[in-house]
Amino acid sequence: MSDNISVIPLEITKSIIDTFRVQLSVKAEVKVETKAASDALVSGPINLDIVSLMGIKSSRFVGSLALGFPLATFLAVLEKMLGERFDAITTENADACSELLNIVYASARMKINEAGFDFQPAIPSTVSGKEVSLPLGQFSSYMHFDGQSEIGPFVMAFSLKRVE
Amino acid sequence: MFDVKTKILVIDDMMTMRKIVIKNLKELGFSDISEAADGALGWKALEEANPPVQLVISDWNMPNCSGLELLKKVRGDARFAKLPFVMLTAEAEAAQVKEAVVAGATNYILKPFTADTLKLKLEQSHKKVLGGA
Repeated sequence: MSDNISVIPLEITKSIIDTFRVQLSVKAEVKVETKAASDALVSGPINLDIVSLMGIKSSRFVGSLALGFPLATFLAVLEKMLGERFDAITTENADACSELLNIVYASARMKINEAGFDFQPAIPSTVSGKEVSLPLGQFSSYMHFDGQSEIGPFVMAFSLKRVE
Repeated sequence: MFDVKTKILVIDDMMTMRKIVIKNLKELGFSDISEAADGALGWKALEEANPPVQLVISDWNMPNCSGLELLKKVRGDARFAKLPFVMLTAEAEAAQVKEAVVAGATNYILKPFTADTLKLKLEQSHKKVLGGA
């Protein structure tokens, strides 16, 4: 079994860019950095209004992956995805965030597993509200994906720890 | 290609993805499109449809009844044994693709996808159905 965990953020980054390009017809760039999770928040320099989160696991690792958007970016995402304009995040349209995270993870997972891992499928859940943040309590650090796109900024966060 | 009057059932637990598929189908000229939010509701829609559904586009990972479970149920029922059934999924691992083919999927669309990809896959599915007729 591979321990080359550097392949994971690399494939996630590629998958984000590819998902934005194909599903949204939007160019995106991602800057990855490791951050201490002492603040236990997925937030970064922008306020997030919607975040989807999934727990991920393999035979040797557990972790989490999150994707978040500020309101303006998410409304633009919806317009790109659905061809309709929305004024707010609703229980109906919020699942677009989950769907995007699902696509990003599934696409990345295939490549990651080809590199010797055995990550399992996962189901995302979504929270929305004013300035959403998420606890990443069980992890000492996480990888922060600072995303910039033609339709606005977005954030991904990824954390992983070895199963004892 | 399938006739634009083809009766299509789109099944996905994500409203967003159903809307994307339906939007793309409408752009291709299709208009007789219904939807269901999981495999169990999809099966109900198939059984109740009159006239019958002529093409199913279904997600794989769904609560209650997955796309694969629905596909097996469909292929096990003489009424729907030859119904074109296209799987839509973000999972691209070879073993999963093989599982869908073995279960009788007509074709397989990987997310993310473009309108052009959907069109191509439907054209391939139509040819396959004609070839098997």
